[in-house]
Amino acid sequence: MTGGSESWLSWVFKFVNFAVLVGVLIKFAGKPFKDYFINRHNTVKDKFEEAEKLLREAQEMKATYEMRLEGLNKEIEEFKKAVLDDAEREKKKIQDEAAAFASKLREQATLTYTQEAKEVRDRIKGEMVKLTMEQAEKLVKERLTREDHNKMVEEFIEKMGSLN
Amino acid sequence: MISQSIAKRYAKGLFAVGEKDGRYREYLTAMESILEVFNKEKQLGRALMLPILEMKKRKELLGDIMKACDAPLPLANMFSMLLEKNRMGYINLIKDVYSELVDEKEGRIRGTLYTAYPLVDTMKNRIETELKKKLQKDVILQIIEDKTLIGGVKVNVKGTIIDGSVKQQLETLKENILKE
Repeated sequence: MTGGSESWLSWVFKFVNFAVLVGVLIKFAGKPFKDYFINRHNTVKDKFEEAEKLLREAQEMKATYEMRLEGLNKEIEEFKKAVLDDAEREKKKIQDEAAAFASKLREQATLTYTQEAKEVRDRIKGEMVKLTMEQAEKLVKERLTREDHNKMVEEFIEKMGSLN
Repeated sequence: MISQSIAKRYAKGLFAVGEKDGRYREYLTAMESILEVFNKEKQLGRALMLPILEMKKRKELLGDIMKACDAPLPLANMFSMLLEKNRMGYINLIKDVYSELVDEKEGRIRGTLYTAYPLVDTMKNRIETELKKKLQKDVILQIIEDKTLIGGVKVNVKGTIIDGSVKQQLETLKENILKE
């Protein structure tokens, strides 16, 4: 073996050596490798399935939420309408009540005014009559004589006679 | 009200006796004369009515008065009963009720005639006559002068009032004006 080139026997030896190495590797590490790759394959497959499932669920959830969102919009619209209707009704009720109250107040005020005016009129009238009567009594007292009295008694007797 | 009821009981008791023996009028006269004594001698009346003296002495005093006034026995008994029961204070009321019973028995009724000025007897008699026609009973009126009437007269017989006074006319006028 000189001159820097290897003999064909060396190449055969290397090849056999490599084949033995490969054989030993296949013999002793073939099964663990195989198991590892199968496991790895299964794990990746599971992950894919899980990811698909999650994707499906997410899509379903998305669809549900989209549907619910759509329903919610509708509900919001309905609620808004109901609130507006209620507010309108309440407004009308308050307006009606205010109008009724105002009308009642007007009536009450008119009644109070009429009553008070009547009271004042009656009081003034009473006062006037009282003063007039006092004056009349004073005048009658001054002017009535005994003859007038006797005449009145005569009339009284005649009246009693006519009543019998 | 209670005093009226007590007075009625005594008056009716005495009147029943008087009706029975026919001396009811005599009892009234005697009662009036005894009350006149009490009115004149206020102390005498007070001595009998107020329980200052002993009952025995009051009875003796009453007995003397009855004797002096020659009071009929039923009347004297009634006075004695009133004294024993401390009801001498009711005697004036008893007299009034008794007097009404006598009037009722004799078909008579008493009333009051209020007048603004003194009234001549003829007018009083004419009013009594008119009232007699109206009430179908003899009417005896007691005159009371009342200047507040201003003029005219007013009669009150047993709660029935006939008013012909100026005061009443003015009142009626006032009411009519106020009604308008």
